[in-house]
Amino acid sequence: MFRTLLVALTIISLILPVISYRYFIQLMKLVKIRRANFLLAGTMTVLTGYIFFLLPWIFIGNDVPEIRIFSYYIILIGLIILVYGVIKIYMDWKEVIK
Amino acid sequence: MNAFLPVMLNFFMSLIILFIAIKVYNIYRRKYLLWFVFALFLIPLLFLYSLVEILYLSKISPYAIVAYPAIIIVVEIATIMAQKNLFSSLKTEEAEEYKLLLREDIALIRAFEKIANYFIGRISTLIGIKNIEDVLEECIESYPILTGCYIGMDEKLKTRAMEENIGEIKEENMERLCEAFSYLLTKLIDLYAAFVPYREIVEGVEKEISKIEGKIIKYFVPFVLFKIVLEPFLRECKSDELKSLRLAVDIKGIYINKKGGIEYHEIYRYDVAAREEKFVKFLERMLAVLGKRGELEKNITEIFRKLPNNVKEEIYRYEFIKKLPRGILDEEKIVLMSKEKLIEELIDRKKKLEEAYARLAEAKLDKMKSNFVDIIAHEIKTPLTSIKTYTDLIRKGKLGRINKLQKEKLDKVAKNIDRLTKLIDDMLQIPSIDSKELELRKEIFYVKDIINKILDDIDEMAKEKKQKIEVNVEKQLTIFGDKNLIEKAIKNIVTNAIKYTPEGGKIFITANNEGSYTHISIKDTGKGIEKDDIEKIFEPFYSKEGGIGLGLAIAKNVVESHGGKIWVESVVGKGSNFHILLRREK
Repeated sequence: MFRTLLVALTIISLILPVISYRYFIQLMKLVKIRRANFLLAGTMTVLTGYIFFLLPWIFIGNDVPEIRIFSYYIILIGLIILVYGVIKIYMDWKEVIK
Repeated sequence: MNAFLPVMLNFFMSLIILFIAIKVYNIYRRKYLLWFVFALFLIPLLFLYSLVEILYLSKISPYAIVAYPAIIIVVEIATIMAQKNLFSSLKTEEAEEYKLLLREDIALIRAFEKIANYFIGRISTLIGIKNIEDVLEECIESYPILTGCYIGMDEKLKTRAMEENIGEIKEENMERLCEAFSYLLTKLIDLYAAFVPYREIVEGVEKEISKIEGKIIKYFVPFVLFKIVLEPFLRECKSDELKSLRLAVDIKGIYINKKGGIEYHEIYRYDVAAREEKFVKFLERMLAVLGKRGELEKNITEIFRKLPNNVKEEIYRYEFIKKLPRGILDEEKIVLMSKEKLIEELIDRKKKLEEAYARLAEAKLDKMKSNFVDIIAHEIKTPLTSIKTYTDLIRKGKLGRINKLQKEKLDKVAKNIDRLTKLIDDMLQIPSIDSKELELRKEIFYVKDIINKILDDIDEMAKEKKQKIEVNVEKQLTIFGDKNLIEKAIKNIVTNAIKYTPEGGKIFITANNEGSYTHISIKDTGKGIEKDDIEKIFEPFYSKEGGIGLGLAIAKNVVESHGGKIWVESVVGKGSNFHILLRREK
């Protein structure tokens, strides 16, 4: 029961980014935000970390601490990329906003 | 491994992103931003939950893990909502501002808008806003790209409608925008100049331009060069001067109006270099016509120096200063050139220094090698002399009788001691090893004599290999040099020839007269020397077949010490021919 629920939620949580990505592409056609690739790369890395995080639970039903830590570090890399991208975009905006 | 550290780091990272999103929301307060903020707010919470789950919940129930995909789903839904909202707001008219937010052309329009408003604010009190509106209308007529610009209720130029109409960002648009706004500014400046001295106007414009951000400042360069640097002088010109100047300045796209204002058309269609060229041409003609050489150059230089830093940085790129006529920015030119010269000199010096270091290292290594060999050679030679003395004494029976077998063995010992002594002597004779010049005892001697002596010495060796040595030396042929050393050099080559020629081979020794030199040639029918090895065989200790590799090095050293020449011609598989040239007489 637990694993079925987990798999179902995981599948949903992986379908939603695909929808999100479609919107992102549409948006980029309208607003060519510089450094938007950082947002994309960062999000993809975070998602990769998230998949790693859930893998042991889905396949063996248990936590594997090493994989958990590994996934946290992947997520960290993703977040660092995101922080960089967001800061850069904010700086660009700031110049125009003022 | 502990998960605490990465979880905390992730928590702080997500907080930073949330903080920035909140900051942007504070400025814009749009619905889509609120969705983003909400999504980003959940992420640090997720990491906090992770911490709690690691510490407590994982011990209670595995279901705690289900919260992760659940929260992620909420985050994703919020993100999709945010994007959807942003998308629909971009599609609606009121949200055009976001679409335009990051565009370079919009930044350019706003920068021009600010400068225009600076003038409008000052002129409107003097001539009334109606006149300014007329000027704007005239500009829109000439440049339709300005359609959408209007004077608002606050008596300021508004460009928002124009921004919305501008469409896609294109290089062409940028050019047209610059052209149009420069025209509008020129008109406004002309109006203002009727009331205020032009120099004062320039100061105000400079102040406004200094606030322009770096990425669009390049578009203001022609405006600065013509309107700020040159126009003040034209405005002060007498009418006849201005007339001749208007005739003289025959540059496509640049005109001087009757008041001395510079108008330029389509100048943005040219690249930076071409624009600079036009400016320099204009300047040169202006200097030629106004004829106030010295004073005028000095004043233009002063204006250049007072320009705002952002403009100066942009203008002084691409070696612009160097192109300016003499008398303008001369000091800067010197600094620039001396800088370049200095860099060149530094590179040159660095190269020389590196070469010197390399030479020094080589010399040091050579010296170390030489000292080492010197010490070893002398240290071996001293006990060797004593061994030889005692061996001879025993061999000759001076220290008591010895039997036949003992004598035979002692003869062998003596022979080997001689070989060793010879080897040490050889080592000490290479200047590159012991860094001493050879001491030459020069005399005139017959070549035949030394060749015969060499033949006596090597006869046995050649016979052993069944080799035939043919000699063809003129009887009266002489050499001026150290007989012993030259004999040694030739002997080394002949010995080598015997060594590398197979059994039954032939060796030819010839010597003949060549002007003031004696040419000795030692030719063999050996296996020859490979092309790559030809240059190396004369180097000390270079040997491919197990010898010490000093013979040819000594030969070369001896010949060159006599001012002679030694070389080799060789064909692999056919044999080698060594040539020696030595002076015949004093």
